[in-house]
Amino acid sequence: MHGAGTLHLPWRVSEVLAVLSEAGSEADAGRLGDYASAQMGVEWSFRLRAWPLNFERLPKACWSVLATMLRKPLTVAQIAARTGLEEMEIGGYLELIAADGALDRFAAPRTPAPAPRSEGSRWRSLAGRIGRALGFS
Amino acid sequence: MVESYKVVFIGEPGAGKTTCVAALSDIEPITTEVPASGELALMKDTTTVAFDYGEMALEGGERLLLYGLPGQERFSFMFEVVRHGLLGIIVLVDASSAHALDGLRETLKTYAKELEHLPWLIAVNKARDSADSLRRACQTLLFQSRLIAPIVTVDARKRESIAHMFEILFTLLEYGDERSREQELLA
Repeated sequence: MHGAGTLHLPWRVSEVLAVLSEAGSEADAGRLGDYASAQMGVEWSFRLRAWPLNFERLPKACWSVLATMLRKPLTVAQIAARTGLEEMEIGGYLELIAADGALDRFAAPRTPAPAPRSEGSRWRSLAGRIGRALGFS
Repeated sequence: MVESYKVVFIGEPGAGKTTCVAALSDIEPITTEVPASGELALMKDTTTVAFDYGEMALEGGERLLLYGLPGQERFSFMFEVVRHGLLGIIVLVDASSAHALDGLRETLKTYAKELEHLPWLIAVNKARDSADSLRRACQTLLFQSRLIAPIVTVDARKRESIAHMFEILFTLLEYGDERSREQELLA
């Protein structure tokens, strides 16, 4: 008998893929927590079912995660690219949102991580100008 | 070119649209009143429906154009005035009204298409407390309408409350807006 995660000769492609996928899943689980971690070559996409009523008690970084999932399902990597947050932090927020019953989760084949988005700075700048006009820094 | 952006407040008469526009505007707010008609005329015999307009000057010469629109379907034609260059929508709910949910229901129905695509939030105004039960009822209405939005309790008379609404709106705009071409927003 061979232990989980081990290979024996001659190597078979299916066994190699299974071990690699298992290793990837364990690594994801370590980074993201159980709710958001990938399983066997599949990753989760997340979409809001409802905006949590208690969101004002959540960290503001979590608001940005909520906003990304409004329109369509996104993977943790896609949320990270949009928000600039670490995937582990996002995984924690997803668990909070899921615990509130406000999240739907869909399985999808793994896709390459997207490039970070940078167009948000325009709105940050405008929000800052409006905030200053309102008397807030 | 000096840019301008638009934000619209939508709600029933008395929900706080005029208060919000007046609180933000650098110019004397303009209010266009329309004679009440139909069932509303039976309740209030004079003018009750208003179109509000104000402007807020920003650093760099930019302007934020502020509009207050009725939530009723029969006035939805006014939305065409604000559609181009619109950053987002704040739907006001009058917590002191016995018909608050009826008004919200009509607003959601009237503007469902716009609310599916634009950044928006629900602001419960005139509440005596945190209005938890009303906010839950609003959430249920949203669910039934297949819409998703933050729901907050505000005091439209206070600038910090308005700043809070804008903070949420800009979070939605920055992270949740699928419109990729900024030109679509320019007024």
